Amino acid sequence: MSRPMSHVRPADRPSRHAAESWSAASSMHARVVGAVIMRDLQTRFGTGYFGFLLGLVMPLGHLTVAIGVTLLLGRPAPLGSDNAVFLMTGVLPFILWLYSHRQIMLTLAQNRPLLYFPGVDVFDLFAARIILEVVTGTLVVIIVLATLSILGHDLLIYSWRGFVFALILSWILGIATGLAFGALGAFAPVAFLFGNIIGPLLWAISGIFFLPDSLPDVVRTILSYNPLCQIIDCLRVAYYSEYSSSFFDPYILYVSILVLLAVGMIFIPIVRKVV
Amino acid sequence: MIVIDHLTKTYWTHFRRKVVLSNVSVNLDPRTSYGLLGQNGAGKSTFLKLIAGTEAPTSGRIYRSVRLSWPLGFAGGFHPLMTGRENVRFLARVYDADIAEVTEFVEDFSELGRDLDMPVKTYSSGMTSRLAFAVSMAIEFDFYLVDEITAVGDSRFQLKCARAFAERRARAGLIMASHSTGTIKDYCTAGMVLQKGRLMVFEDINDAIEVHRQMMEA
Repeated sequence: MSRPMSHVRPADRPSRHAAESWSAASSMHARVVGAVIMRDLQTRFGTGYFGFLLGLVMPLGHLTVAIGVTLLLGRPAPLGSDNAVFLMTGVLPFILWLYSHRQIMLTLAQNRPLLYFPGVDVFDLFAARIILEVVTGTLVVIIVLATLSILGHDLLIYSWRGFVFALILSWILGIATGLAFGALGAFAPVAFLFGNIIGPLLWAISGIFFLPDSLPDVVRTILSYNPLCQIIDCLRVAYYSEYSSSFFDPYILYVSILVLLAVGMIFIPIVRKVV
Repeated sequence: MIVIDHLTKTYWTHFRRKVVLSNVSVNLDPRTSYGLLGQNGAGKSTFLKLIAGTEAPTSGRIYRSVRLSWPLGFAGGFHPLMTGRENVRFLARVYDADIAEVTEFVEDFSELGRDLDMPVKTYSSGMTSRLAFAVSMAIEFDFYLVDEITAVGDSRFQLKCARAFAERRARAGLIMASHSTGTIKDYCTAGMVLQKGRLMVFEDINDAIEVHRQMMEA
C-alpha cells in the first residue's frame, strides 16, 4: 500500500483566489459584479428589462400618494407656495433611502445560491447592488424632477450643491442601514422584519409632511436622532433660500451613518464565514 | 495546483464543537482524479465547498491557481424567473467564456429546444438537470468538483453525459465525493479518505478504498 502523501511547502503556494494572480482575481471580481448587475436588472421587478423601467417610475406613485394625502387634509405647504414641491423635497430623499435600504438588505437573501459558484463572493453581490442603486437613484431623481417640471411646477433650487449632497447622504444612509440589517438578517431573520417595518415608520416620522421646527421641543429632540429626518431637513435648507433650520445637526447625522456602516462592514466578513 | 495549508474547519452544533477538518495540509494536482471517501457526516461535502471557496475555513488557507467548477450538475444557482438561456448567459459572463459558444453548446447538448427560452421555474426537474449538466460541460475548468454523481435523463442521455464528462476529464482534474466505491474506482486514480477531521491522501485509489473499507468495518 502506498503511503499517504501530504506535504505543503511555502514555495508551492499560488494565489489565494480562483485566478492566477491578483490582477486576474480583480478581473474575476469585476466580471462577477457586471454579471450580477445584469441579472439584477433582469429580475428586479418580474422578468425582463421592462420591470426595471417600471421600478424607475414607481417613486412617482409615492409622490402622488403624498400629494393625495395632503390634498385630502387640505393643508397648505409648510414652506413655499407649492405643496407638490414641498412634498418632493421629502419624498425624494425618502425614496432614495428606502430603495437602497431594501435592495441592499435583501442582497444575500435573494442571491445566496450564487455563492455556490466558485469565484463569486459576498463582496461581489453587495458591490453589484450598490452600483445598481447609484444608477437607479440617479435616474429616479431625474425622472421625478423632470415630471414635476413638465407638469408646470417651478423648481428653483437655491443650492444645487447642498441639494445633491443631501441626496447622496440619503443614498449612503440606505446602503448603511441595508448592510446592517442585511448582515444581521443572515444570523437572525427577524432583522429583515425590523428592516421592513422601519420603511412605513420613517415615512410617517421623517418630516415628509411637516417641518420639525414646527413641532414641540420634546418631539423635535426625539426626531433629531432620526438621520432620515435630518437629511430631509438638510435638503430643504438647500432647496429653499428662505428656510433656515435650527433642527439640522450634522454631527448626529454623520455619526449615525458611520455607526450603521461600521455595523454592516464588521458583520459582512463574519457572514462570509458562516453563510 | 490547489494548495491546502493547515486547514481547519469546525462547526457549532447543539452547543458542541464539531471538527470537520483538523490542520489538514495537502497539494492537489489538476492532472489527477481524486476520489474522496468517508463515512456519512465525515465532512466530504464541506471539504468540497472549502476547496471551491464557497465556504470559509475556520483557520488555515487554500491557495488556488486553477479554475474550479461548481459542483457538477448544480442547479440551485439558476434564477427561476430567468429563462434557461439567460441563466446560461449569466454563467458564461461570470466565467469569462464566449457567450455565443456556451449558449450554442447548451442548446445542442441539453436538447431543450424552444424551452430554453422559457423561465426555469416552468421546467421539470429532469429538464433542470439537463440544463445544469449541459452548462457544467459547456464551460471549461481545470478542476471539476463532483458531489455524488447522479444520473441525468434517459439511458441515451446518460451515455451522452458520460462521454462529454470523459472528454472533459481527459484535460482536467477531478475531485469526486461519493459513498459508492465502485463509482469512485471508475472515475478516479488517486484517493482521499476523510475521518474524524483527518485527511489521508493515497496515490492509488485502491489503497484509499481499502482503508475506507477497513474504517467502515471497524
